[in-house]
Parts: sequence; structure tokens; C-alpha cells
Amino acid sequence: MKEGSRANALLVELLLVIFFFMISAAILVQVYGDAKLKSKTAHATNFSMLDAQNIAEDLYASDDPDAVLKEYGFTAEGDSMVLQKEGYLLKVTFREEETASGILRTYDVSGLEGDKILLTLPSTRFIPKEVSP
Amino acid sequence: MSKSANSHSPRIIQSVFVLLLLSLFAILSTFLVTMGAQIYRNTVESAEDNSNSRIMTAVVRSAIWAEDGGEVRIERFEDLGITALSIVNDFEGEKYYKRLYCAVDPDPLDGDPRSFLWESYNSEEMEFRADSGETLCELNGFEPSIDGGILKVELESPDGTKSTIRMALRTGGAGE
Repeated sequence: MKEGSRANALLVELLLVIFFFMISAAILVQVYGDAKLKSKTAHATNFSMLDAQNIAEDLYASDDPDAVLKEYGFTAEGDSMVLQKEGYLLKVTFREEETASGILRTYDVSGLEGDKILLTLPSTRFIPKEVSP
Repeated sequence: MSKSANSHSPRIIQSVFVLLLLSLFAILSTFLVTMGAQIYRNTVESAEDNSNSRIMTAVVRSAIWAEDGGEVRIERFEDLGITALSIVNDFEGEKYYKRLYCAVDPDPLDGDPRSFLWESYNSEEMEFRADSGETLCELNGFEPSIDGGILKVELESPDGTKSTIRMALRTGGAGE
């Protein structure tokens, strides 16, 4: 009887240890998951920023921005152009503002992870109106 | 004999159950530690990739923007095996060259010769030497090229991460 109660106590002790271990494991798995997600987001933000900088510079320098975007592999989606990269999406939207002295063209290059916008980099170019002599 | 066997069987079952629980505990804890180590390694590798690419590109971009007023050229020094990105500025009739290039530091402070990105600033009369500049950051590859008004620089970090920088030359124009 005495030996049996000792064995039962050991069993209860073990079950308690495993119970607390399971709780700790559940918390740890959640923490690991969060760390992985944050790492993926940081990776996507960094590389989408490097890509967006390059694209913004190309758009700034080019006289034919559509050709530049097609060369990168962008495809039309509604009013914007999109390019799927590893872990993030690049999206370029275009707006034009006409002023008295010329046209202000702005290309917004955005990096997205799912629906979340990671960053937006505008590339603006002013095209002056031709002045008649 | 059979009575004794019957009294022993619950103890055997209990012992086996305890051993099974211990084994489960050991397997789960090993799995958790392995998974944690794997995630930690991936996170550190990813952070290293991010910082390497960001540092390399930021250093090169800011070095170019700092002197973008001049004429940007690509110079090849065949005897030294160096391709340099040169920005030429004119001050009171004298030309000054700011050069960015990749070369091995022949006399590093820690004694371990490694490849670095260098920046040198010389007047036209001074002969270019690989060790005449200052090291900016550790870099394995630096390959500049100019296409129209766009300067393209391909970079490779010491761990093999490759990055490309494309920059519109704003004021000085370009030459090869």
C-alpha cells in the first residue's frame, strides 16, 4: 500500500510536470511563430525598399515609364502595375497633375505583404510645357 | 504462482506508463529545442542578409550622391585589376577624381587581408594607387556600368549576398 501510494505520487508529479511543459511549449511555439512572421516582414520590407528605390530611379530617368515597368516584368492590374516577388508584391500607381507651366507626373512605387502596405516611394517628374517662341 | 503474477502486473503497467510519459517528455522537449534553434538560425540569417544588403547599398548610394554634381565615369585600371566608378569635379580649372572601387586591403588593422569598398579623392596629376583611399565597408564585388542616364552597380557582400543599385544621374551626366 505504501509502495503503491509512492508510485501514484510519482505519476501525479510526472503528469504535473508534463502539464506545465505543455503550457510552456504552447507559449514558446506562439513566440517562435511571431518571430518567424516578423523576420519575414523585415525581409520583405528591406528587399521591397531596395527594389522600389531602383524602380523609382529608373522611372525618374526614363521617357517611357511603361516600357521600364514591362522590362521589370510588371503586369497591368486595374489602374496599377504589379510584380510578384519572393515574399512581397510591388505595385506602381500613376497620377498626373496639370499645372499652368507643365505636367507633374508621379509614380508611387509600393511594397506590399498581403494587403499590408510596407512602404511607398514616390517618383516625381515635372515635364514643362513647350514655350512658343 | 499465478496470484503473485497478478499482483505484479499493475506495477509493471504503471512502470511502463511512467517510462512512456518520460519518453514523451524527452521527445517533445527535443523537438521544441530543435524547432527553436532552427527558427533562431533562420531569423539571424535573414537579419544578416537584410543588414548586409542595406549597408552595402546605403554606403554606395550616399557616396555617389555626395558628389553627383560632377561627371560620372567608369575607369578600368587593367594593371591593378580594378574597375572604378569615378566622379570628376572641376575646381578652378583643376580636375579632381573621387573614385569608388573594390580592392583587397594589403595592410588591415587585424592582419587578415580582405576585400573592401574603397573611396579615394585625388587631383588629376596624382597617380591612382589602390591603397591611396579609405576603406568604407567590407565588400567582395563592385561592378559599375552606365546605361544612358542610369548608373548600375552590382555589389556582392562577403557572405555572397548580391544586390544591384540603379541610380539616375541627376546633374553631371555620364561618360565611359
